[in-house]
Amino acid sequence: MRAFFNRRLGYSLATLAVAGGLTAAWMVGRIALRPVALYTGWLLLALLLALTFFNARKKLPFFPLISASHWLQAHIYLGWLACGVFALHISARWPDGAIEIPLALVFILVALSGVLGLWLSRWLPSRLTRSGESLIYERIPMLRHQLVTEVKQVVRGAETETQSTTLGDFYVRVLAGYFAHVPAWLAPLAGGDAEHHRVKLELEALRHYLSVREIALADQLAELIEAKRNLDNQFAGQRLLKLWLFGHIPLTFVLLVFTAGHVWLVLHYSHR
Amino acid sequence: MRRLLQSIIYNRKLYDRPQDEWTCGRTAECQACVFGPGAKGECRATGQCLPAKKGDRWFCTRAISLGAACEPGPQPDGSCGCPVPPCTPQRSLRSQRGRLAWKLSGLALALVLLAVWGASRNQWANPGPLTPQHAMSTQRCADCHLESAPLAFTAAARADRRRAHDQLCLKCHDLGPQDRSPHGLTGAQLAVLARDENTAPVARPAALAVVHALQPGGPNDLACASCHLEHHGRDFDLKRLTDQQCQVCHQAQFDGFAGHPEFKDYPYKRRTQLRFDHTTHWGQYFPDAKLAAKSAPTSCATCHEPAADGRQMLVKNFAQTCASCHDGQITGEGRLGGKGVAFIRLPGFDRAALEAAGEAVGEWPARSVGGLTPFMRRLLEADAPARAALQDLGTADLTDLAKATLAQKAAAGRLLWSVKSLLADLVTQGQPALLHRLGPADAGARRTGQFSADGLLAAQQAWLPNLLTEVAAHRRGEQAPVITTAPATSGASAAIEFDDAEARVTEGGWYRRDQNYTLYYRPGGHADPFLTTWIDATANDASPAASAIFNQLSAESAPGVCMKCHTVDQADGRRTVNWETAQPQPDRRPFTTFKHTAHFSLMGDQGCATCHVIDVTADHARGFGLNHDPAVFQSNFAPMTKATCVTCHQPAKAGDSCLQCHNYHTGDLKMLRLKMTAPPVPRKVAETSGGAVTARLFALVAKNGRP
Repeated sequence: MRAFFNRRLGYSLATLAVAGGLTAAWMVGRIALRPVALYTGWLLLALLLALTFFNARKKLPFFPLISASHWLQAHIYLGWLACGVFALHISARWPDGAIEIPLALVFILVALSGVLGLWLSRWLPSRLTRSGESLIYERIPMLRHQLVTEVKQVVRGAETETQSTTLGDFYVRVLAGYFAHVPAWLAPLAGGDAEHHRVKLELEALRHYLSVREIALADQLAELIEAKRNLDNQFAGQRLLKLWLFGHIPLTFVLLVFTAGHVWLVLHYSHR
Repeated sequence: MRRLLQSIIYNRKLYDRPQDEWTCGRTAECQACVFGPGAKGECRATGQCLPAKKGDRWFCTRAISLGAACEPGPQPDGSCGCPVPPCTPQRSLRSQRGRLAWKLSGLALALVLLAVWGASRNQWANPGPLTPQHAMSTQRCADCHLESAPLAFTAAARADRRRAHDQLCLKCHDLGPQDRSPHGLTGAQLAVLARDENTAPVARPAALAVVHALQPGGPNDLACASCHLEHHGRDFDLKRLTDQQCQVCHQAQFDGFAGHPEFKDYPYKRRTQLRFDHTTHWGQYFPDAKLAAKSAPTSCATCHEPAADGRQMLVKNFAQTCASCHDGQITGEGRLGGKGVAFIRLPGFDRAALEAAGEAVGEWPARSVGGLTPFMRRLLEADAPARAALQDLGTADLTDLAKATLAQKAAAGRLLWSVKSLLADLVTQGQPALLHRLGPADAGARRTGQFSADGLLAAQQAWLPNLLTEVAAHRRGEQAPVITTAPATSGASAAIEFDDAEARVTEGGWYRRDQNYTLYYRPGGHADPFLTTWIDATANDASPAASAIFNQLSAESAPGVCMKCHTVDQADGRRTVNWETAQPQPDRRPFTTFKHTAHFSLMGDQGCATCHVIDVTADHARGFGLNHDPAVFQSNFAPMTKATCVTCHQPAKAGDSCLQCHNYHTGDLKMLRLKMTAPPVPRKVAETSGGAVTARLFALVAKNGRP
């Protein structure tokens, strides 16, 4: 843990040092009447391509490139550096051009989505681990279906074995809706398992009116409710971990297109 | 024990393909088929397995995770015994994300292509609004940008590109021959400045120290866009520059005005155009009671006033300043000796020698004794025979030809006929004859000095009454009498005394003196046209006669005493007479700019002397007299010190930026102005009509609003 902290601290300080050096060079270049916008532009383009290559790296697993985890580290710190270079490039002046406005806007959105993704990828995995069994995201719909089937079997079994409709009524009134429920997109951010606790409390309260056999079946239902809680958490958390990429990656493509247009215009029209 | 939803038994695990574009539509129902959708999203489900044939029998190959071999087994035709109904495959999350990325990229690409190649690309490619002056004068990108220039990556190619772009700027903004060099100066001029300003830096700012260390010579090959950044909005200041940026090239670099090197001789960079000694005037003359009665100045404002732009302090005109004391000196009041300038004179000559040599000069006054005036020499030099005669005469004296050779005597005779011919031309043709002999000149230049042909005619009738007849006969080649003495001047004319003749023209003009057969001009007052015309006309005329005229008229004691006050500057072999005091020069941009009117309210009890302190020790006379170099002088005033300015010019007070007092582009502002050209006349109109017709046609079009 300490090594992790030291590594993060070292990379952060190195990034800050590079950013500070670039800022100083930018100031000197500006005083020396050098085309600093051109220089920072080229640097920003190089950083953008390096950052984008992280995505390409994942698609080229057969190349003997450094590990994806190292790429991710580089992606994060170069991303922060790119934000600084971007600020130098626009000289803290919001652009006015038809290409430059969307370009700046998209850059900021990509950066913000990257920061969001970084935070989510740091915050959610530990919560998901604490939640329970780790599930493969693509299997979750199937597992939900499986859970619903099992619940129905338990409830039907209870009616058959005990000739009582207590658990059946409970299923109709509470469990059917609970197991059919799919958590909202931002459910992990809202936090809490209020719905789950409500259902468990109701089931607990129902125990006073159940026979011994029904109590045993209610215990099975409680297990399934707990599994559903974990399944919902896993689903909502993993979905959020994938959804932020729906902003980050497509916007990166757009950013590259606008960047290409911007670079072409600059090379074509630049006075310097 | 906690319930696990996913099987951890290896052969019970499903095979997930999250990288695939499509997923089975029955996955959520736990009925995903083993084959999965095709690459294009088609369902490939037929059964739960693909039966295998061994020998002549089919065997079920269903996966263990699906329950292993099924009970019915394969059909006789080899198809699966557990058929799977087809599904509608769903796109995977990754595929959805990819499609979104491509769609958004496509939109962005369309926008970029529209901006780069669209019909409205001048608007779309515009990275920001232009300042109004450029927005009004440009219509498209190519007005200021090289659209077809190749992409430049090497240093040399980029330098070429910069130069080519700058030429587009200079198409409208002409900065003169040194348009791309710092301050518009040549390397030699910059070197002189660097030598003059070789001041050790007091405390160089850290950032500048770094720049200086990296670029000892400062930035070279500056582009217009190095300082003037466009497309930054309508209100952007194109001339915005920080003090540090100004100092990049300079040897002495400093933080703020407090670190600025001390002034050397500011603002007295040259002697004044007028020779005026403030020390003697304010110290001796103005306090004198007699002069005080003649309205001697009581303050600087008596003689000085600010220019319209408030920058320069001007000297009021002659009538408002010097006239009350010095007007009479110009017309010759109280002057000892002649008050006029001899313009035409009948020269005396050695009659005996010419008669002996057989040279006939016709009618000529017997008492003429003087020599040719410089003006006559200048006019005779324009006449080829006269010029040859003067050359042949050489150093021989017209009045003593006893020892002259026959050729010189013959030349003397020809010269006298040339004088007659000149007089005849001037009498009959007047000023045009004068202009003809002076030769071509710049348009608008005055050259006759208000020469009076009538004055000369009267003189000719008195001195040489048969001149025109004689000259006509001489030009026809007829022989004239050997010597004929002209009739004596009339009694009335001869009775006019020397002083009386001058007294008849107290306010200037032409008069003659019959005693010495000379026509004079007496200056009439300040800016006398005769004197100014002839001094200007001969200042840069290399002929000996012209030099003699200039020297005669520009002597401090010459009639009119022009050079008592006015100075002559000589630079690059050319002399310029300073008839005017220093005037606003909107065409000139100096390094340092100062607005007097903005500082009037800040003057202390000393008034103008708050800044302009008379230096009584200065040798003011040193800069004038025979000195024609305006840079050699000692000002009446002590140079200003930085301390005077720095009192107010601090960041928190009046500001201390470089550009508050200094201009970058210096020199001829005429060059800095936009080159304005007349609008072109449509070819058809130009071909079918003349200028006047065209003008009327355009006026008609403008009035009716139709072609």
